[in-house]
Amino acid sequence: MARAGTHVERRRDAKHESFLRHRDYFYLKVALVLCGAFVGVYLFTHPQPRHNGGTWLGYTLGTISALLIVWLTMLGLRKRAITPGAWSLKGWTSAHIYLGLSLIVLATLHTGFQFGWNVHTLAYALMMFVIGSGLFGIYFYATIPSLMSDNRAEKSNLQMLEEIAALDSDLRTAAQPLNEANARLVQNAIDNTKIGGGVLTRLRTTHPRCATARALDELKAVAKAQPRNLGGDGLAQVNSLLDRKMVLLDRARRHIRYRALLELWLYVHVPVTFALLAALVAHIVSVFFMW
Amino acid sequence: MTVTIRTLTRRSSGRESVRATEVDKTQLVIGRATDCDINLPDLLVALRHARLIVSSTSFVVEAEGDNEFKFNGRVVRRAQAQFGEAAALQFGPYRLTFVAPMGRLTIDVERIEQARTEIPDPDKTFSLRGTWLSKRTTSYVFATLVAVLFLAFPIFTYATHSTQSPISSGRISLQKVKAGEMWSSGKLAGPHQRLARDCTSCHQDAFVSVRDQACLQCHDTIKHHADATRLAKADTPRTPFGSGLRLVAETFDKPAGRCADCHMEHNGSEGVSPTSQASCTSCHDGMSKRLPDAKVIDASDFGRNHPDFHPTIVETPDADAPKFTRVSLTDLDKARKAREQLASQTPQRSCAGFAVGQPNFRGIVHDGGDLPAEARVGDNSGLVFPHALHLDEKGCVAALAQQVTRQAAATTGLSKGPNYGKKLVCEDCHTRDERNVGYKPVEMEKNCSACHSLVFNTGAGGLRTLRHGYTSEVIAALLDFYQARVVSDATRPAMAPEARRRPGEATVQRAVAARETAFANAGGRASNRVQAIFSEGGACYGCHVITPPATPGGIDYRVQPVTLRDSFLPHGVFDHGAHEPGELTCDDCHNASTSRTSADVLMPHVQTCQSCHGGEHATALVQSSCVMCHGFHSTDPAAPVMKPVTTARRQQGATGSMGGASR
Repeated sequence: MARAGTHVERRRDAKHESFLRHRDYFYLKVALVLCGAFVGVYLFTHPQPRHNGGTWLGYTLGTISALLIVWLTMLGLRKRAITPGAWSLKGWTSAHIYLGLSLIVLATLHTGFQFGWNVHTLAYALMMFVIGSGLFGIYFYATIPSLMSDNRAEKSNLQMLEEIAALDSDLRTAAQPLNEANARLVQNAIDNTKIGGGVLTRLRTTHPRCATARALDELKAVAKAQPRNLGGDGLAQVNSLLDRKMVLLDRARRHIRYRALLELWLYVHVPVTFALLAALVAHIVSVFFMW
Repeated sequence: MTVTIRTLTRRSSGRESVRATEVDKTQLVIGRATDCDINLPDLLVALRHARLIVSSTSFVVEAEGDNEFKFNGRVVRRAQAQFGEAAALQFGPYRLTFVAPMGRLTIDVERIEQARTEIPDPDKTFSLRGTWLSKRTTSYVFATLVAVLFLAFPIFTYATHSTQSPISSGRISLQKVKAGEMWSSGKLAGPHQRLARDCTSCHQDAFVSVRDQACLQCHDTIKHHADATRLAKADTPRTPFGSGLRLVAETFDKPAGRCADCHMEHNGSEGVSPTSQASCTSCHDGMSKRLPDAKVIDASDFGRNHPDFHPTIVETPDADAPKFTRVSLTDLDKARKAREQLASQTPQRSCAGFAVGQPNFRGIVHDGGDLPAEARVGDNSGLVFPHALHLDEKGCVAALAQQVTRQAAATTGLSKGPNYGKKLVCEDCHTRDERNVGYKPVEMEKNCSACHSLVFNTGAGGLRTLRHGYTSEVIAALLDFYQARVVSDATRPAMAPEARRRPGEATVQRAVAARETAFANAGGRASNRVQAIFSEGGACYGCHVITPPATPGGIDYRVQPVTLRDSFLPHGVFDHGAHEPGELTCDDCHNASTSRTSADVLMPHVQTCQSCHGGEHATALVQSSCVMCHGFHSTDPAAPVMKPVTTARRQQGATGSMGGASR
């Protein structure tokens, strides 16, 4: 009982506190203090000949930023091990976001606003790109999960697909009495209705080439054109099955779109992070190489 | 004919069940419709797909409408087979095997393809993992690309970099592919830009900080500011933070005192020539504590903490090796006041009296034995030059200058000859140098001789002029001239021995006697002329300190050498040209009009400068960092001072000359 109790408690916590609001914006405060302190030092020191990456402040900011980047990358490893508490994955994510955002200030101060067509600015640009993609991630992770939860109506991914498969099976039986053309439509709807698809298809809200939609449209038209008394050929049943399949398909596809939005930024965020790590190594090596 | 239709069903357990029906017809209908003789319930089969016509020897299957089916693997619309032949037909997922021994037809119906009910992988369906996108592959590709292009490639070009000119070498070079620029952290300054693609010209060894030897490859004539160990001592960090920074820098192979410590590259035009006050005050602020034997007084800010000037003056004038000393302007001013006090006690008589009767402190070090010690401090140039006399608007100099102007105008025209106004002004004698920064050394021939003529005879045969600066030549010339003149006098008709004088021969005898006397006295008279010129009232005596002959009556006069300085502050540069646009006059800084002796150093105090110039961060005054006046790369007074940045452009190629010693 006691174990069940704590479990419930934790669930409630998870529901009420987002990764942004974690520990009453603790890491936001840390990031703000960090940025504020370094902006202050930047403004009140006057290194010669000017602020750049090569002053004591520049090297300090550079070291902090580089270590931060490496630590931020560690989220990729950390997320595979879920632990509770202050260093919970949520806490880690919250720190990842706010300390990651603080890099905008820290790394920019590190540059001393000196930019050029070189490996140093490349590393900076890649970092800003990664942060930019991360901002998309924050937005999607803050808005989409609740939409997803509403959409899936407590159904698991497998359940959604099983329901559709079951309807296909029903359709196959129900469509037996249909004439050739209609039966072909139904067969097509069974065989060629794509769930998922390419990247762009997943992001689309409409699927005009959906075989099920087409079958439903055409068979509805057929049913409309038929005299009402000829109800015994199973068309009505097929249409009702197709209707239900369409609803399930829409839900599954919406789910897929949400998942795509939730994941797509990571396909930019992660590879560019690796490019950034390589550029960061090149940046640091080049500095010490040409010491 | 009886046709046996055997429907085979395979259970999932693997068991086969057979249901056989018999139809006694010669025409059978094959299709999905439930009333078909051979019912094939699948949507791929038409309601009435085909007809089977059985005769005594053969059977024919004909598709209805547009339908098709497979016959022995081929898609056909009609199939015919003889009894005794094996035939396999396929309608949708159903295979119909015709087993037909003579007179009897059995059709085995079996579903060979099950309806597809498999459920797609939910993970691939819902996640982008099901698409071509891959985080892992793109990560590897991106990281490899960046590492190869921006890390491996520049290192490769560095390793294979040839020492010959990258332009002429045919292989991959830094020049061609700009690998060096990929790593460059910023633009190089001015002339260094041509090194931009040749990193190794400065970064000679990998992971070793830029050393001075790299700089000295080109800047081999640069003067060092001070001994490296003394520099390091002067630049000892004063705070724990500073010590910490120094420790870190040294740990990371950035030893202090390198050229690159001050000359920071890759910041464009900024930094390579440090101009900030801090570059100097890091040592000079409170340096006396760290280097007690340093002769330089501490300074931290021109406006707030800068010592008064200590002009470098001549201690002993000498043509070859003059001696200099530095004296504070306060002491110099004190001495000047003492001299002026003494001068005021003696009434001024005349133009000549100014130089003769009044104490003019001729050669104060040597001759001023009767002067009090504090009045003897001054510039011992060896020259007698009272500025006050020359600038006096009513004095004899002004009158002479006007006369010279009139004479010159009468003979050569006003535009060519000297044109002095009512009185002499500074520019009449002092000429600005080509750089418009300082003044050319004053030269007797150019600047003084218009009035101080060295012509000693205007007789027949043209002017005779003494050669300035060559004492022995002057004496020899005078002796030669006056002795020769006795001879020429003797050849005049009055003195000629063969002149006829019949009545009263006495005259002739007198003339002969006079000639003999003249010859006898010729040496003495010439010597007198020499003595006159070097004695009080003589041409040389007026301006020079004369060492009298060793024996009384002798003529081996010597002129004390003159050493004129063209700068009293050799470690600083005052840009006179830059100070012209305002209302400033020479007198505002140089109090020349009351100076009675060249011992006076007519330099303004630092307060005069500070009335307009403040430190680097001054708000109301002209912001002036150290390098506005001071250079860094020289401590040798005889060597050219590295000129400050502000005037460097105008001074390019020129070297300041020091201690303009006269001949």
